[in-house]
Parts: sequence; C-alpha cells; structure tokens
Amino acid sequence: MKRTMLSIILILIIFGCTAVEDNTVITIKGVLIDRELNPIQDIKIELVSSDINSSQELQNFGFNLSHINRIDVFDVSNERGEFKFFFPRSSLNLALFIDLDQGLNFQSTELDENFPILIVEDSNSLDLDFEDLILIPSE
Amino acid sequence: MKNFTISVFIIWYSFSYSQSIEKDSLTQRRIDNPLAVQVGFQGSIFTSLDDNFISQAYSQDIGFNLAARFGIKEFIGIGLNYNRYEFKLDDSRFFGSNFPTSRFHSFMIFAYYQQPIYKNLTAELKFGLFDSTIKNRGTLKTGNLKYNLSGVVTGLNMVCYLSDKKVIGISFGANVHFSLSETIETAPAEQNFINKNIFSTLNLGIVIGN
Repeated sequence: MKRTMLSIILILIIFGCTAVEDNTVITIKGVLIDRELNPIQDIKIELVSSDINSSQELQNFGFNLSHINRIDVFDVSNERGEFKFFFPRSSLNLALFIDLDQGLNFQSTELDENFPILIVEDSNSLDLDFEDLILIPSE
Repeated sequence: MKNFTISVFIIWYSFSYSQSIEKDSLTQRRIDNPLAVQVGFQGSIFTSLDDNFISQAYSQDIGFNLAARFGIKEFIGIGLNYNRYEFKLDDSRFFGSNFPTSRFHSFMIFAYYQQPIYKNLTAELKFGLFDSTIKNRGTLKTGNLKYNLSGVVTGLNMVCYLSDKKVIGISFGANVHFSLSETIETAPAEQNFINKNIFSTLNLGIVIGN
C-alpha cells in the first residue's frame, strides 16, 4: 500500500515537473509604412508559427503557405500604421504574416527580396519592437 | 487542491450544522455564542473595473464563490473565500487558438466587521489579501500559461437572515480586488498593463451559520 502511494506521488512529481508552464507575456509590435514612409492603415497582420526559423532559410527555400501554422493571433493596423500582439514566450518559431490577398509583402532590408512573411528571430525578448516595417505591393 | 477545498467545505459545514442543533435546543440568541461559524455558497459574476490585461484579453463570465467565516464575537472575525470562473479569450491580439480554455481562481483571507442594520438584515465590511491564478490551458506544443496575481481586496456583504435565529440567510456581496503584484514577466513598458488590474466579484447566494 505504502509502495503504491509512493509510486503515485513520484509519478505526480515527475508529471508536475515536465509540464511546460509559462508566466511570460511578450509584446510584439511595429508600424506598417509604405515606401514613402506613410503609415498604412487597415492591414490585417497575423502572428503565425512557422517551420522556417531564420531569414536565411526563407531566402534559400522561398515561401510556401505550408510553412505557416495559423494560431489566430492578429491585429489590424490603426491610422498610424501600428499593430501589437501579446503572446507567451513559447517554444514556437514565430513569424509575422500578411495574407496574400491584401497584395502586400514585407520588404526585407537585408535581403534583396520580399515575402509575405517576416521571421521573428528573437522571441526570447520580452519586448519585440519591429519599429518601421516597409510594405510593398506583391507581384 | 480541489479535493482539499471540498474537504474543508464539508468539515466547516458539518461543524456549523452541529452548532445549529445545539443552539436550537437551547433557543439561544446568536450573540450568546462566543464562536460564530458561517459558510456561504454563492453564484458569482466577475467584472473588470479598469481597461487592462484581464478586461482586454478575456470575456468574463459567471462562476461560483465559497466563503467561510469565523467570528471571534458576533460582529468581528476572519474569513476565507474561494472564487472560480471560466474565462474565454476575447481579443484576437492575445494568445489565440493555441490556448482554447482558461480558468480563473482566487483565494482570499479577510477580516470583517458585521453590523445589524434592520431586524434580520446585517451589513459586513471586509478587508483582506487575495492570491489569484489565471490558468490558460495550452496545446501540447505550447504548454500552459499560468499567471498569478495578488493584492488587496475590500468588500461589502449584506445578509438577510430568514429567521430570528440567524441560521440561514440570503447573502449579496461585492468584492473589489486590486492586483499589486509584478509576477507576470513582461516588457517594462507593459508592466502596469499586464500586472495591475482592478476587478470586482458580485456574489449572490446563501449562508448557513450557528
């Protein structure tokens, strides 16, 4: 009887310890602007989880809708072009995504290409401010 | 924790029940008994009173409230309180579908002062401390989000006893919780928005005591 109780307690402790729990709320925000630096209003911007976890991979393999997993976190940019999400510091690879039918892509400043997805490479930070994100019409 | 709460509830209830029988047989007034024990079971409504994290992220709901009071005399004492609600995410900017359900529960310990107002109507003023948890159940990949909030609470409770013996009464109360903790890790700019919340619980139900 004692042994059974002990085993149950041990199992509970082990399960208790392995349960992933997170008490963080990270902020992911930015401002959507066009090439003339004017804010872009009313653009639905989503937070997604992605298979791709670096801009380099995105450049090498290109973008495909199957790379993203929608998690239903989104905002619509306000009159100043601002958006903001709140998410835990989770084990997911996060990315920003603009739906293809809005006809816009993120212009990468480092890469000479543009994609509807922008990889979040530092989701360990508590405050991710993308500041100005330039959007250009997608071809 | 659930089992613990239920056991405590049953013990208090049985204690108060046995006290009631004794009192009935002697037809004493409640004030003659130096130790007053009372338990309450109430339906409860949660309402945010500010425009911070809880009010923006969640749609608030009804739940229940359990209370126990131990009076040192008739009119003063200490009490324990437990509230529980099921929350739903209500804003697309927060957490999303990876966290389909949330539960809010809160423990509170308080000191109270009771004042008879009119015949069987009693008003109670209380001050105390609370410790709350919002548990967002996540998918396996993301795990759970557990947010703790703690702070001070104050409240007013009215009890209308159904007889002069003051054994059973109908209780209506409102508690206001001021969350003061900084236990949720977040960006410095969002610290107050996330951690500092003001909310109230409105409770309506019955109380049983000796």
